[in-house]
Amino acid sequence: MKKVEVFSKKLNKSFTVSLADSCKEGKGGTTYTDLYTGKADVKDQSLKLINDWDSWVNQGWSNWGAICV
Amino acid sequence: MKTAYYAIGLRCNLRCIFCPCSEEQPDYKYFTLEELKDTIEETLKVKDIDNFLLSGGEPTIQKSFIPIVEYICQEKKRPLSLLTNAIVFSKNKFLERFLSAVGNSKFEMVTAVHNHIPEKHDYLTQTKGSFEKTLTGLKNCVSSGINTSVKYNIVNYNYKDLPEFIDFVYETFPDEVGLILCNIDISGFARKNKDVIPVSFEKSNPYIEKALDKVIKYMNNGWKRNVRIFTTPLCTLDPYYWYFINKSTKDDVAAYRSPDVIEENSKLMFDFPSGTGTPFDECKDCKVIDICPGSWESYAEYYGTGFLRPVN
Repeated sequence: MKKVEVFSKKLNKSFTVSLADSCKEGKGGTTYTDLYTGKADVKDQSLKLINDWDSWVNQGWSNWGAICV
Repeated sequence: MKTAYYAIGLRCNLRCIFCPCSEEQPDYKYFTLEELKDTIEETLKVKDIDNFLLSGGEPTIQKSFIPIVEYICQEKKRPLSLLTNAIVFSKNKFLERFLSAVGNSKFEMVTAVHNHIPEKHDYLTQTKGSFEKTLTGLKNCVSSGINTSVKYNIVNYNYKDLPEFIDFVYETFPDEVGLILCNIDISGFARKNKDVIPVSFEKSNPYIEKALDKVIKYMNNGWKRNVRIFTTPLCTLDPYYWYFINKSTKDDVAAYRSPDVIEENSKLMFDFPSGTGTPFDECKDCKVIDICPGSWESYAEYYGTGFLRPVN
């Protein structure tokens, strides 16, 4: 799993983001939801970057927006 | 996921000032029902399509709309996605006919609402009363159990209104309605309306971040709405907000067909390039390139690539 250290101006601190497509929230580790709800201090933690958009309209082409409004 | 994307006709009941189709509308090019059926058959011979996506113009006002929906859903038994302004669904009879054509197939639709202030929405659509009609249509669809998402196209005219728009969505639509924040292709009419349409990430992203702060507050109050940002590179937003950025699929449209005044351009095409992504030199060594959705190539043509801040 690829990990990237990033700096957040919003938090004024660095943290690590795990870049794994298969990661799902709730399967261990700190999540963005934990971050947003204040349940976790992100210092030295891994945040899994997830994408759980289950809409198939966007799976093939995320730019359809300009074709039809 | 392999998508077949068909723009079934260019006619529209709106005149959005950033729509790339608007320039071609006077020609009202469209495909007949037979042409569309042949297109589907030809597509399925070449590609194993997971879902069909109908667009326009406004797909719902094309003659072939209901029959082709029926063909895709009931004969081909494939999931269907629809990009629509939802105006026709403000009429219950049309909605009933449409639902009957869909039958038991999986279906979802995406509808753009350009602002929570009716006059501002109507200005961008250049159609008085369109806000009310779209909203009525959307609500009818939601009430009918249709899987629906609202899309906000971020342009210079409306980016500052985004935080308030968030409240509007949460107050107007139930939790199951998704929300998409989308940067647009700066081409065609969008380039011609320079004062109104193009907006840089530098200007708009602080408002996106304010909007997402509101979304996070709603999340903390128990809301579970699916909120996603499209065509926005990761490096342009604070990593705190990356959760909301829709990852890149790296897939082109498996099959694509759109009417065009030039016959050659209206042929069925396979593996059609999307015009978005991370094709920029600056992105090559970026550590998050694998998941970054990147942006429109037209954005870089217009603003240059100085906005990119590769993560190293």
